[in-house]
Amino acid sequence: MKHALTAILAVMLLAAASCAQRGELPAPANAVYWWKTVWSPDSAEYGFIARHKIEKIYMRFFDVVPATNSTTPQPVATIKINAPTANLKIIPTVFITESCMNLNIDKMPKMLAYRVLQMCETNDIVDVDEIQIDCDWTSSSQQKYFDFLSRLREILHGKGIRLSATIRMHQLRMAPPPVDYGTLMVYNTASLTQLPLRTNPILSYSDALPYIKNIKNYDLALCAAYPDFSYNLLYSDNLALRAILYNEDTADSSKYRRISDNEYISIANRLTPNSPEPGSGITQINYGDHLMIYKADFEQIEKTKAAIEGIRPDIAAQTIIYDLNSRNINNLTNEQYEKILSH
Amino acid sequence: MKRFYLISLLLLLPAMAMPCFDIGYGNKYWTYFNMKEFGEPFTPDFLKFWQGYAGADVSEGDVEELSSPAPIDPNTSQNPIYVAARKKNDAEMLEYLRLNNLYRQRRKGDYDLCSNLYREVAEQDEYFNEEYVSWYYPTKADLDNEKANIAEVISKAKSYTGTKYADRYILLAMRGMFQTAQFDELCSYYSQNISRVPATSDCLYSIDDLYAGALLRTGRADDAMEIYAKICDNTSLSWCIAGKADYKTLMQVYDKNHNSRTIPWIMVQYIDRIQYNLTRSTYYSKEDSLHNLAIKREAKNFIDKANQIADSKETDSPALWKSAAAYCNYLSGNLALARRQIDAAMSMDGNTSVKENARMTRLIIYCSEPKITSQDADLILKDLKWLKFKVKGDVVSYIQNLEAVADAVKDKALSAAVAGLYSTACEEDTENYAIDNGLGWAISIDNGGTANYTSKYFGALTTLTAAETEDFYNNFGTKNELSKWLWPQIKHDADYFNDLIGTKYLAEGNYTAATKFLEKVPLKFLDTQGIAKYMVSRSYTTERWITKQNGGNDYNNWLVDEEHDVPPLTKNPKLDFCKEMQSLAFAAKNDPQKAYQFATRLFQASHFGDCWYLAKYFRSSSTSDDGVTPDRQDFASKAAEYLDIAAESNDPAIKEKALFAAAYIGQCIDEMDNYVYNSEARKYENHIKRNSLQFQSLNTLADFERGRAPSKFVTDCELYDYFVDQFK
Repeated sequence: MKHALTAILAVMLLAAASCAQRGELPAPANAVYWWKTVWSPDSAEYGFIARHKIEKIYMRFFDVVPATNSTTPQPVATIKINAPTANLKIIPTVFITESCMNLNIDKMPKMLAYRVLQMCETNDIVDVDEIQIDCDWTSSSQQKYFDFLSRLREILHGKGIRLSATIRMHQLRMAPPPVDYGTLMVYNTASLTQLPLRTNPILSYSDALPYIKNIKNYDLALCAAYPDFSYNLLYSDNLALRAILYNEDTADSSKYRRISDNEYISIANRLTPNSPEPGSGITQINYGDHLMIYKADFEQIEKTKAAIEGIRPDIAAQTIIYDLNSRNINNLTNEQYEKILSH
Repeated sequence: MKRFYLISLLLLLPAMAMPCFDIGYGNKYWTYFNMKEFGEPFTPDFLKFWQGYAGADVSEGDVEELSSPAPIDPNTSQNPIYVAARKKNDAEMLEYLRLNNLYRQRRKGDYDLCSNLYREVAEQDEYFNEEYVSWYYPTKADLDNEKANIAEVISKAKSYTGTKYADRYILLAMRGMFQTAQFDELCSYYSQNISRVPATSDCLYSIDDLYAGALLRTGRADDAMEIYAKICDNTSLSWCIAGKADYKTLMQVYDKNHNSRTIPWIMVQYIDRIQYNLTRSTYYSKEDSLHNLAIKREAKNFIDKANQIADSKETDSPALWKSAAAYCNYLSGNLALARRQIDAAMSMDGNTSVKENARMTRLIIYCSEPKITSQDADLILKDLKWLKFKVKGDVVSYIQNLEAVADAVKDKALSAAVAGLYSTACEEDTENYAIDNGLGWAISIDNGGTANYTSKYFGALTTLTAAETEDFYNNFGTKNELSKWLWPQIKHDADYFNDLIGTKYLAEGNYTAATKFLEKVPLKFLDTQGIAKYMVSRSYTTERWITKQNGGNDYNNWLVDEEHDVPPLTKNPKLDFCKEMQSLAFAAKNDPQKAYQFATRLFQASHFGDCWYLAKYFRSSSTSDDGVTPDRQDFASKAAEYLDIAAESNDPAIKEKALFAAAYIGQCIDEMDNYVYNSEARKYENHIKRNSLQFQSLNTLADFERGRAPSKFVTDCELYDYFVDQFK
């Protein structure tokens, strides 16, 4: 027993030592991602913030995509900030598509930094001391992406602002990006493109496991983000992914026939809006299409979290929920949320 | 360049392949009938007004400039609209243009409004380009400025009391209100001011559209849809209807307003859905399954309700409901009821589009009779003449109706003739219909054919047997008034038909009859065919299982960039083939040597052979069901039968070749691999079919080779090695 305690102490000291080398997470706190295009939380979302003592919001400000008929990137889907953000620490977050790395991005670090800062100033978002970048980079885009981050960090540090980045599980196998810390995205652990899916693609412990071992020596301060979302995946009758939907009424027996716990077959061809907002796109649903229902599974989250924190205890300092949305809140119980946010 | 075509066509494949799986015409029948009503996109046309104001020189670009966010100086602009306003000293117009420009340039584009942060970046460059504009985000001052600009636009536009440009000022005020999300105010303003807008105003559509958008955003979706339907704003209406095109919604709308403009839109989508479900219902479950019975019951319920409404005198458009009932009866197979109801619909009230729709529905229903009476033929003739007239006047809106008729006709000869009429119409407008002129399933890199062998007409002709085609060619044009009208409008060239009928007889294995027709075909005619390059390059006497012939691939293939002239034919290989088959046919029944030769030729002429051109005009890469006649012989299976005779030979060389050939053919028509999906393991597993032709032939071949030295073509075969290794 004594030996065991000594061993645990040694591991903890080692972890603390390596943590110091990697840098530290700034002011850890309970946090959520806000990924909607409008900041205007409803009562359920405000309730969630209060109940779970959420202090930080990683708020998606805009996406960056290749401009049409151009070799340069451009921002799209800019968030509309229709409510105050007082008393909340906002971390502006920008999603950049990997394809932008094939473009001329010489000016992007400065343009992106200035745009984010202008958005903060215009919308009275004060005390911004960090920006986060989200990009699904791979080995082919790594060099250019890292160069971009280095230049962005230089600009931001000049203004007293930190830079963080999301880290996808598969990116753990490569060198860490040049940022002040990373957020490990512990979700989207399997490909959705073709049925059958062996596991829950949102998060499955068995899918995450092969990546987790890379966390131990990953030379970057980390926190983790866990999922609470759900989605309906629409597959054509040749089992290829066609669309991700959020508003399907699977209980309507004139539209769907249930064939297993989470699988439905469409029994009518029809059009359905992608979201309830006027002007959003329309998806054609065909007879015979498969609709798969997936939602974040607490058991899988808990197991994966324990495994990750067993290897990298420092990662527990801060947990982020992806994402705050009244549509997701009922996917987990309050108690489960508390367990995920605990450290 | 050819690679581009290939890639383009490959990209089209999934869409073009759809008809293979759909029964009937697809799921847009009724939509097509209402093409005119539902197909016109919403595009306000302001050019005419501005040309009237400033002269015929005003271009679309000049009008577009009015919508541009770039600042315009009203005192110096050379845009002819500004020039005219200044020249006329038209203060009302100049003020309108100023407000319009203020509204347009409220945001990005006016670079002076951009914040200092951006200028800091921009100064490092020679000029401030568009890239910076896309990254621009307004400062607080910009937003205040914008707010003030729009407030001024709304206020000044609303205060205009004149009549000359009332419509333009009203539209501008509404745009400002919409931009600032003042939807309730916009609705009130519309109600108070719409009477000031002339019914002929070019702004009316935009005004109505904005009003509908405001209604939608203030919870009055039904009223919004009514307006979208009135102005044919397809996009907005489709969004509103999406997910609601069902019986329940249709009846709710009807109950609220029996003459709602939305009814035809919902009904068209709903009937498309009924059609799709009825035609696809047996795809996943048995015909008498509960699910399919429910689909039929739904159609029946709708038919009853539609009839009841049509007869109730409570709608201004009974023809719409009656023809919908008739069409659903037709879809359900109740042809007699469908006929009675569509006849009734024809004399009922409805607007022009509804009446046109009813007439098209009648044409479809009458054409679908298995036996066309002379009375029906007269009516079909009248309606086809009408449709042809419509196609001539507006090909884009009506061509698909003609195609739908060709698909609906049950009588094979009449169907071919109507398809011929359709193909002729397409050829007259190749720019728009080049793609429609092709058959999706005919796409193949082996298809070097011309439009004559990929058209809808050709597709319809392939449903006729050789004898039926002979009869069609010789007699159709004189059968009745309908056929007399159709015949001169469709292609009936003698060389084309002699070659086609000869090829059909060849494909049916009637070599004597084939010879009679093929003898009449001049070589010059064959030189024009896409398959000529294969005819000059490949021999049907070569054993396919030993030697693969690629000759012809290098001529004008999509994969080859350079084009070469194909040498002219010196003989008709189809004719030679028929003569040889006639001379071999008798002896092949008993003589193993002759049987082997006969099988070699049969297989070469099959879908899997290199000389497929003998019995078809193109070879599909996705299906073997692409022949020229429904009575075609299965040459590959027939070859296997003759190889059984050849395998009885006492000559070990012939016996070995025959067994090897049978194994090769087995791989094409009855292979041993049988992949079955294991739902528990969630993967495919190979359950080898030991009774398959391929397995049996390889087994016999392996037994035969035991104790002797196999020929090189056997030892070169990896599959044979694999088989011996795994199964012997």
